[in-house]
Parts: sequence; structure tokens; C-alpha cells
Amino acid sequence: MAQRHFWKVYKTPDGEKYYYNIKTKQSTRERPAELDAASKDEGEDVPTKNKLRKLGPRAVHSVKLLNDWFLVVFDDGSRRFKRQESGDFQDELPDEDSIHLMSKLPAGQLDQLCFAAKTGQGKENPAYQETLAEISALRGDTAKDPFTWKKEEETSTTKNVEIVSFNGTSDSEPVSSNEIKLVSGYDSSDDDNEIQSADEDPVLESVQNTGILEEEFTSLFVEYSLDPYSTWSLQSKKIQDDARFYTISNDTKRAELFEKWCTRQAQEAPNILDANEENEVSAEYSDDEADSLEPTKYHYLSHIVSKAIVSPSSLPKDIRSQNKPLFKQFKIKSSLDKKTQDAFISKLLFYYKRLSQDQRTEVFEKLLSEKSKTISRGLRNSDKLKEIVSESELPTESYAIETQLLTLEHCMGLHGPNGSLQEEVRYYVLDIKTKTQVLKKFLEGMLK
Amino acid sequence: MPRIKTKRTKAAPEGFEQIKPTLTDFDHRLRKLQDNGASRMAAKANEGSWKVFQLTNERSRYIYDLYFKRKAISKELYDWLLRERYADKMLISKWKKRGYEKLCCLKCIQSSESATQGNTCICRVPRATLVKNSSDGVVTFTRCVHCGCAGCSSSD
Repeated sequence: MAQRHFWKVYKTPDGEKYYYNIKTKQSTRERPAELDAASKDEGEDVPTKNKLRKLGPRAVHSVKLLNDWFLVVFDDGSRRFKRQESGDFQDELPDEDSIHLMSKLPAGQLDQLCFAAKTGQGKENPAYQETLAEISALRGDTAKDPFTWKKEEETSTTKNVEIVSFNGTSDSEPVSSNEIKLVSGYDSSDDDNEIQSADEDPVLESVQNTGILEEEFTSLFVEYSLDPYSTWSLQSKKIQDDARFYTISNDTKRAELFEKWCTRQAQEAPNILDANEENEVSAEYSDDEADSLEPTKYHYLSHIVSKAIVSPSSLPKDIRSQNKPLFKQFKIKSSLDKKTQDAFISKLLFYYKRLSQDQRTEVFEKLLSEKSKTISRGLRNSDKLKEIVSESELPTESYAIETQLLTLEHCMGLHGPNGSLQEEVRYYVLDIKTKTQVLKKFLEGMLK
Repeated sequence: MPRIKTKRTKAAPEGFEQIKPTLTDFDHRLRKLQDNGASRMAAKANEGSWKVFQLTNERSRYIYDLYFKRKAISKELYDWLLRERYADKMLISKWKKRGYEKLCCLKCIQSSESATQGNTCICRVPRATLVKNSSDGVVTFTRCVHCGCAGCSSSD
């Protein structure tokens, strides 16, 4: 045992460090010389390696260039260069041959590689394999020129591609020319390689493994026909005698998996019901399509607001007291309760107070263009729609305008698939006439 | 405890049959608790009720999960279960609030019922805060007096 291991570091009650030698029972506040000396000669490379492993970006790919230079790509997307002997990373590539080689690579290839490294794809990612193939081919070309290189001849003639582990200061083994070492971490007993493989492989494996384990564990539920409408504490009793129950050691994790499975089961069951219901609903629609010119939810309310005199200080209750007869006429009370009325009116008042007519038209158009996808999906009865849209003039009677608007809305499926649009306040920011005009224009554009 | 069934009790909505076995099991467990003799030690006076609180919490959580997480039961059945007191709807209403997702019982957040200085119960304090505030990093708190909760803060 080295001298330095006898020294222990403790803290005094006031927080200062002091050193205690467990063999000689000597204690001191000053750092003993042995500790420093020992850490210098033996402790050095271990901590630096650990540091490299923990801090900073991790090397993902390394591609061999010319004259013993390597291109190393890190997982933060940066790339640096390293000479095999020195092992130091450099930002610029001083070797001209290698620069020449890299310039021959197809444009974007390196960027792709960096991106792949950044997104954390493993050695199997296609960009990396492509680059390797590319480089090896290029190196094969350059190798034909005997002047530029003699050292690498054996490697390049067989178009060997080799990857070194990033913190291997030197690859001590001679490069065997026939062997294509794609992943050096697997076939070398080098100390550094072990660190790297410890770095990457277990993570990958464990991720895959847990996935498989979880699946296996979930299959237990089906096998023992557990009840998806029950609790884990009850159901776990049924399966806990099975050996596979213990593939997952944590009980909260098990409960979580059970919950997930239950959710899935519950979703699968009512799906059939839902589908049936939807069919019924659509059947109903097609039945009474002829006479179903039903106004949208806030149709009359928005109409009242558009007619009302809006001052900067008006409140929903002012609107109500102003237009009492209209409220009565449209029987607003029967369709909406007071709370929803107030909520809707105050939202709408915001638009009427702040925005001019043109701005509101813009808001409305914007809403339509936002929803254009869903609207186009919900369109039906297109013959009728085309007929209305093709009439450029609006009817003169207000009742006819309203009928036209309602027909348009019906064709847009506002009472069926596009029902969500009905709830949108921005759908009501215009009065009926302008709304019909804008809507017509919009639908015309859509039908083209 | 669920309400006692009478002639006037509404029939259970569809889907109740699926969850009935589990609810019966909860019922059995609750009955078993009654059979256990309570301790006569003054220090353990509260402990008899802890198990009941725990079971109520568990059953309410079960029904909460069925409706909100698994979405396995209908709104109608959920309402019926609440009306028949299979779950504590007050407790569930707290669980929907941020910061109360794991609340153990209502007693623990009612300042008038909590024993000390009208504050909320110690089980609502996050573990990390308990450790930080203790003088030597050792937390002496194990279970709260109200319901035997060992800590129900959302961050735990």
C-alpha cells in the first residue's frame, strides 16, 4: 500500500480540513508532502481519464484520414482532429493531405455526420457508414500516388477503415491489413477501449433490455387474464408467484406498467362503441338534412351584439338591458344560460371595443385560414355550396341573407364535423351581412 | 363507507359489474379492520383510524384512476359512485389541484383540525425541506398523527 493511502482527510468542527495518518496516528493541518508526491506519480492518468469521461463532449465517431490523422466527431456536434501519436485534439487540421482528402468528400456529408452524432444515433447510423465508405474509397485513390504516402500503404491498399477509441493515446497493436475493425471497443483489450465500451454499450443494452422486460412483464397480465378494472394491489397477488413477476424489481414500476396496460385495455373496449355511435349520428344527419337549417350556438347573441351600441365602458348587462326585446324575440334564455351569455358577450365586446370593422374582418379571415384544413375536410353538399358561392350578389332582404349564411354554415359542417368552430369567439366577430360576404369569398377560394 | 342500500337507491349504471369485485374486496378489508382490537396505549390511540384513512384513500384513488386516468368508466357511473360514497369526492376534488396530487386526507390540510398552531400537517412538507431544516440532516418525522401518512407532498 502506498504511503499516501494512510492519510485521511477530515474536517474540523469549524470546517477546515485536516489530515490524519492512520498508521503513525499523526495529525496535521498542513497537507502532507507524501500525499502530493504520491498523487503526482500514480494518480495522474486515472483522474484525467475519468474527467474526460464525465466532463466535456463525448466522442462518437472517428474517421481515419491520411498521415495518421483522425477526424473525431463529438456528441455535441463539433468536430476536431487528432494525430495518433500525440493524442491531443486540435480544432484546425494542419495536415495538407488530409485537408485535400476532406475537401473531396461530397458536400454536406460531414454536416450530416455531425448532426447524426448530435442526435445520439449509434455507430450503426447510415451517415457514418456512408462517410466511412466514402473516405476509404477516396483514400484508395490517393494511395495510388506513391509519393504522398508510404506509411499507410498497407492499410490503404486493402481499403481498410479503422476507428480508434477517442481517448486511446496510441493504438499499440499494429494495424492488421485484412481485418476491418469497425468497432474497436469490441475486439481489443486496451484499457481505454474498456472505458469507452463501459461508457456506451451498457446504456444502449439496458434500454433495449428494459423494453423487452417490460413487454414480457406486460404479457403476464394477459396470460393470467388480469382484470383491467381492478387495482394493482389486488391483481398483483394473482401473478406474483410467477418467476417473470420479478423481472422488474421495482413495485412502483410494476404498478405503472399495470396502469398503462389498463388504460390501453379500457381504450380498446369502448372504441367499438364509439364507432357505432358515430355511425348512428351521421346516419341521423343524412336523414333530416333537408330541413336542418339550425343557427350556430351564439348566432343570435352575436347578432344582437353587432346591432347594439357599444361604448368603451359597456358591459354585458348594459347590452342586455339595451336589447331586452331582442333577447326575448330570439329566446336566448332557452338556449343559453345567463352565465354563458355573459361570458360570451364580454369576450365579444373586447373585439367590438378594440377593433374596427376592417380589423375584425381580418381576424375572421385569419381564423378561417387557420382552420381551412378542417373546414375543407368537413365540406359536404358541395352542389348547393357551389350554387350559393357562384351568386356574386347578396340578396337584399335580411332574412334571405341569414338563410344563405345558415345554408353555408350547414354545408361547412358546422353542426357536424366542424362543431368546434361554433365554440370559437372569433367566429362571431362580424355582423351577419359581412360575415356572409367574407365566408362566401373564402369558400370560393377553397373550391377552386 | 358506501351508503346503505335501500329501496330508493338508484340502480347502478352500466359498467358497475366490472368494478364490483374490486369494491367488494375493499369492503372486506374494511370489515377486517373493525375486527382488529385497538391498542390501549395512549400514544397509539390514533393508529386505529389510520388504516381506515388509508383504505379510504386507496379506494378513492382507485375510482379517480378509473375515471380520469384509465378512462374506463362512464361519467354516469362515476357520478353514481360518488353519490353512493364509494369515493370521497372532496378528496378527489383536491387531487385535481396543482400541489395536491398525492394528498393523503382532508384532515391534513385543514388548519383548524391540525394540532399545531393552525398550520397544515407535517406530512405535506416535502422530504427535501424536512432534511434541509433539520439540524443534523436526520428527519425524525415518520408518520403524521391524523392519518398515519408518511409524506404526501407532490414532489416526493
